[in-house]
Amino acid sequence: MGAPFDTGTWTGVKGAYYVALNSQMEVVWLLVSVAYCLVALWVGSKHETDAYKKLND
Amino acid sequence: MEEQLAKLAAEVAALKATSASSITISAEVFYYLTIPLMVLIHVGFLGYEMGASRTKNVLASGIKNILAFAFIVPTFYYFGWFTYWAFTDGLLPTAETWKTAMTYANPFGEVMGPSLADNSTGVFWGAFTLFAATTASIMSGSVIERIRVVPFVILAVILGSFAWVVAAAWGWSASGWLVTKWGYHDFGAAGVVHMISGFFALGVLINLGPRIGKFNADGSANRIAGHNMPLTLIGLMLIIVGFWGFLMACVIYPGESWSWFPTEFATIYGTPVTLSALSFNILMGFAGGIIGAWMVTRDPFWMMSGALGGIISVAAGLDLWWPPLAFVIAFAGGVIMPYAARFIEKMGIDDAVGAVTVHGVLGIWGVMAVGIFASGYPALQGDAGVAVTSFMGQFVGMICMALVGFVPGYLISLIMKMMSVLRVDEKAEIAGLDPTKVPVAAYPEGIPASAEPTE
Repeated sequence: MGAPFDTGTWTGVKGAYYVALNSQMEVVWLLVSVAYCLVALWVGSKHETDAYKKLND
Repeated sequence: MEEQLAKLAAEVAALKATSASSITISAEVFYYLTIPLMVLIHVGFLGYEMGASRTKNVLASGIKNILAFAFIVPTFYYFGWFTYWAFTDGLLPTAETWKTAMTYANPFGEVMGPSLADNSTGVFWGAFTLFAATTASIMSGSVIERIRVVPFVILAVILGSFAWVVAAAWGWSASGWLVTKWGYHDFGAAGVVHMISGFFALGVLINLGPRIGKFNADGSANRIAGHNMPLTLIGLMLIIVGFWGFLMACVIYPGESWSWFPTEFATIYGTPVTLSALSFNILMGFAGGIIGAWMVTRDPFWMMSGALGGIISVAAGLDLWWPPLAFVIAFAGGVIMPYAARFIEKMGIDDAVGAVTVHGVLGIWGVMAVGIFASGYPALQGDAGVAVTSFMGQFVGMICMALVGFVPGYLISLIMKMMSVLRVDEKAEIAGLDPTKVPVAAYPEGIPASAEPTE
């Protein structure tokens, strides 16, 4: 990863320039971010269910 | 002589390049600034919703509202923006629309990241993301004090990153079938945002049921007052501020390769519009809604809801109205609103903030007002023969918006209800959601009562 070009200068750089450009890591980071959302929802759901259980105990 | 001509040509070329660059940057800044303005809509919804909650539920309502915004952002990146480009032809993408979506909104490709060759995709995506979050926030207020947070987030994502986007692809795009075939005109999204979210909320409310204590055994309704009306009123006013950004983002900036015109603003349909037209009609709509609601209620909550409802009433034709007519349409919206809310309540629906009324019912009024008063305008840019606005076109659009909003909201919340995950535990609802699941208190020192007058 790191910079997608190794020219040592911004001169001549055109178009996209973000970290992970044109590598498989683009997809990997996308999927990791999706996974984070899903995990957060699962943890949030569990917290809420546990809170209601605690109230009923 | 030749040398001088060459020098002159070079200077002209340099001037052209500078001018093009200025237009590109001003267009980028124009849309960029709509984004923080639209964030104010969410500041407003947050205050509005928390103010309308009882003290025992204030922060739980706030958390829910904040999460709707937060989850819309990544999901609109993953599939919302793609949906807008892919669903223009109907319920499913075609090979051609899929290809277009892959070109402009592929989340796996470089179009959705920083690029020195693309100043527009990010700001357009940002503005549409805020439209999406607005849609989800509209539903958020109506379900306060009894919905579980994660099912709510899932519903918000389905509404904000999919349902309204399909409606926008149909009726808020120059390629949308409602526009090209029926001449549907909805400049300020009375249908594609407000109706969709109002009817989605209605579908959810039917399955969610009322708050405990809202209705008596004989079916009569009790008023469940929120804990802070001033906060609610300020929230509503902030939503109005944010709407200027929302409606500004409905305009297509001139002079770019993706613009309709070299020097004039256009609507999303490529028809002409000016910021002057918007200023006239937004303000007249705002005032008409407030005054109409004041006349029939004297209630500040409905007056400020009338401000919002007035703008929604004139939203679809903001580019077309004669300002006094905009005032009249908005005034009617402000008058209709409390009666519609009472009718919805009589049906046993507990809509805590009147979202179904303000956005759903007045969204219908806004869409149909174009059909009633503004038929015959060319609905698209192009030579004579393009679709024109009509009562029937607006009617077809209105039915589509009601269905695209209501059906997913009803069906998905029904599934959640059958799985017993939609509604909070009864004991928690009675005790309050803040003490049950929020780690901090909204008012740890309480709210002191007004001092007694000195004698």
